[in-house]
Amino acid sequence: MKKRLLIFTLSLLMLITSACSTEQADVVATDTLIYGSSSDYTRLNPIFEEHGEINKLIFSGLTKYDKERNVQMDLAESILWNDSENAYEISIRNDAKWHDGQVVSSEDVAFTLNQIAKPENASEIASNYIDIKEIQIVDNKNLKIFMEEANSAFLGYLSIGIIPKHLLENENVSESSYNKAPIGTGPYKVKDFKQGQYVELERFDEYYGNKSTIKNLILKIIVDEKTRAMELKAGSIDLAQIGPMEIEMFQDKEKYNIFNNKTSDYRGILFNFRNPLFESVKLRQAISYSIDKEAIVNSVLNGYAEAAYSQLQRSEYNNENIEKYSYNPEKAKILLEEEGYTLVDGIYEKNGEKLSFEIISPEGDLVREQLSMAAAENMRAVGIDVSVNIAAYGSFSWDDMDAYLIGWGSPYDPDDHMYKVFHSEETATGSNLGAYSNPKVDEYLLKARRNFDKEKRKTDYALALEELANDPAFAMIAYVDAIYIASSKITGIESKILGHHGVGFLDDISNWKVD
Amino acid sequence: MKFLITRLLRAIIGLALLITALYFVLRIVTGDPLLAIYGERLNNLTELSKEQLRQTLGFDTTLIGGYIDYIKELCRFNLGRSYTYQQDVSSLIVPALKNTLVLMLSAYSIIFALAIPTGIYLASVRGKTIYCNLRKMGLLLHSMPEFWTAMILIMVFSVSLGLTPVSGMYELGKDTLFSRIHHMILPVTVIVISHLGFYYNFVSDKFTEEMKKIYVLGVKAKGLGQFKIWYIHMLKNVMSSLLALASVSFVHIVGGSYVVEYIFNYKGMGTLLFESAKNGDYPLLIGATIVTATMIMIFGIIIDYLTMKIDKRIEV
Repeated sequence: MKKRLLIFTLSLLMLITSACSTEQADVVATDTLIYGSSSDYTRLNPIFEEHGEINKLIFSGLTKYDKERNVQMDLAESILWNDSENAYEISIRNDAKWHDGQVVSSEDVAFTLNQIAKPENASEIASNYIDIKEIQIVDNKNLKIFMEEANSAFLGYLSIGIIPKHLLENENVSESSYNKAPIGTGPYKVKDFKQGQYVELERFDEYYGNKSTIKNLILKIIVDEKTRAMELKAGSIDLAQIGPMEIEMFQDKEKYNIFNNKTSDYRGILFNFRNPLFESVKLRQAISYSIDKEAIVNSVLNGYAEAAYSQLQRSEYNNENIEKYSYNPEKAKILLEEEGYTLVDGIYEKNGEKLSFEIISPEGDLVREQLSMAAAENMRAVGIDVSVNIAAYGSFSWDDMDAYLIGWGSPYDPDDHMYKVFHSEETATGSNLGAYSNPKVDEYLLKARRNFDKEKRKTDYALALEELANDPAFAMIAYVDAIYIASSKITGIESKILGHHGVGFLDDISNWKVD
Repeated sequence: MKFLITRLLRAIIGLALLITALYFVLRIVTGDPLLAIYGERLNNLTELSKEQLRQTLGFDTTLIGGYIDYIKELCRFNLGRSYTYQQDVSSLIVPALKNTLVLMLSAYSIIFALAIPTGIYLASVRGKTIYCNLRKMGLLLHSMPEFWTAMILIMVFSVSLGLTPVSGMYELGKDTLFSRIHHMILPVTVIVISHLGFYYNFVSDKFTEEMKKIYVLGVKAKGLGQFKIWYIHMLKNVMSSLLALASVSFVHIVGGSYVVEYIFNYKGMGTLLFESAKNGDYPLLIGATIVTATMIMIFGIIIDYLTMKIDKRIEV
């Protein structure tokens, strides 16, 4: 009896599995790539958020960045700077079409930029475009953008995806159903969007640029990092970003290619200058010397990182000849003693007050949590009483905190995460969260923004970085790598430097092949 | 009837307290709600945008005013609008609730369908080696965390054997019943494994106790078969305590299935709750919590009602 039951169950199981495996076989055709995406998509529209891997597939902008991160024309045929009028003269290419077949016009460009500026759309990138004074439509294919001031990073900001006026004119863009089934101008069009499950993209055959050989691109949503690794292992997805601890599972070179991409994404400790404690330059330098970056890179980040010293370390605008703050606890102690601190029971004191502060690390970011704990331990070893508070956004305010585990990085134009992060005027409205203020840094950053000459900009940034090293706004810790695992059936992937959170891996998808 | 009314009233008061507590805790704990939504990215917004957002999201109201507005809308079954999805919360919750109910009720019925016979079997072999082993295994299974069990099962059945899908709710592009069932095998198994042991141990204890009662000897003397004794006479008598267990366990299984949903990327109430908490999407967070609480309360009332019907001695 028992035996018969066992045989029955087994044959039933085999039946089910054989049915499934045939089903899987015809879905995974050779011209299909399945990408494991780490978060659910809420609105497929480029104008709201800063990060959005998928937006570059569905949409395209007037300009784009090439591999060397130089700005190239994309939807625009040419962009000319008219110095006397302080305006960009833009003409749009004739062969660009929307996924619904309509022709792209200058009206669409003006519409997009106006929507970004609209406060009710709450666009995160609105501050990139505040220099626009007026947009004038010349004709169907030509327009002029009048600027308040010249801004060398602006051409790069024009890489933002354009959205169609003819579909959104009478809609509330922020709430429109368009955001679930968008029509763009990019290399892929949206075929199906199942919220929380996947987005199915299909190659747009009338795309004006380089067409990919991959016909179907499916972005499958797998939020959990470990589950994503398992999907790769099971072969049900072809490509995904994973964490540094999962990499050991993919050593089989026959089956997987590991892309350990350098990023411009750094982590460091932000000092809050509203707290008088951090007025002391020597204290901040001492903190920088007391963190053993190399050890942190090898332990917390499993070696998939690099010790950080500059905010533009992965950019061609970097300055290598600045203080790198290599681990030097003795020097840290000397600096603290010069500043008038004395060591009492293992902790430094000044005027009877203990040298003590708290680092806030945002909840849910495991790497930042571990980085802050490791750095705090290093500082305690030197004699600074540092505690770590893992807190959810909203439960603390930038005004009252001591220090914060920050992450930034400019993959493209250096202006992006330099001006708004370190210029003193960006304290209230920009991203200068710690209220850092250094008139020299202000001057160099503004000069670099207004300068169009690359060599001159390099000098400006070199000076700004030197000043930022001598009078630190952050105690820099590490540049974290973005690790992608690709099935070996994908060929043609080039290694490149990625942005904040590893964004940009799919940029060269038009050169990939799936065998 | 009187029973139903008092139970409903109690449930409503409970819910009202929960909603009030949730609302105030979230408004007070989160200094700037916009910061909770946007995190570091908040500073990318222009001042005008921030103003506008505070208005549209209702943060320019006073604490009490906002609360009254929220309750008013709630009475019209309007749970508000999700910040991240820019969609009505109810339009997100309804499909998620369906998915969760399917997953949970499948697991729930399998757990009880297996726990009762296993428990009875255990009680009947009390003292033997198999009894000790099964009891220990039950405890062990119950102590394994769900995410860990899930990873082990995925590793064995999906990665090594290739029998089941790793995650998701259905095959890409093939939302069929078969595909849905296929994708539910592992999540349901994980929930069943992590609860079954506890419940069959409970059932076994109950039956062991029941065996000591005189009437069991009586029916035995009447010459009734083993099956009839266990499954008709004794089961009827322990039913009320099993139902009480069912009522309590519902909460545990809800919690368990929420974790499992997240791991398997099963779009249900659990994933909605995790996501909304992560993104500071408070309307969605409060909405999902209220719906979960209501679900648990309704289930509690049903169980209490059944208990009363079965065992007339119990006055609820």
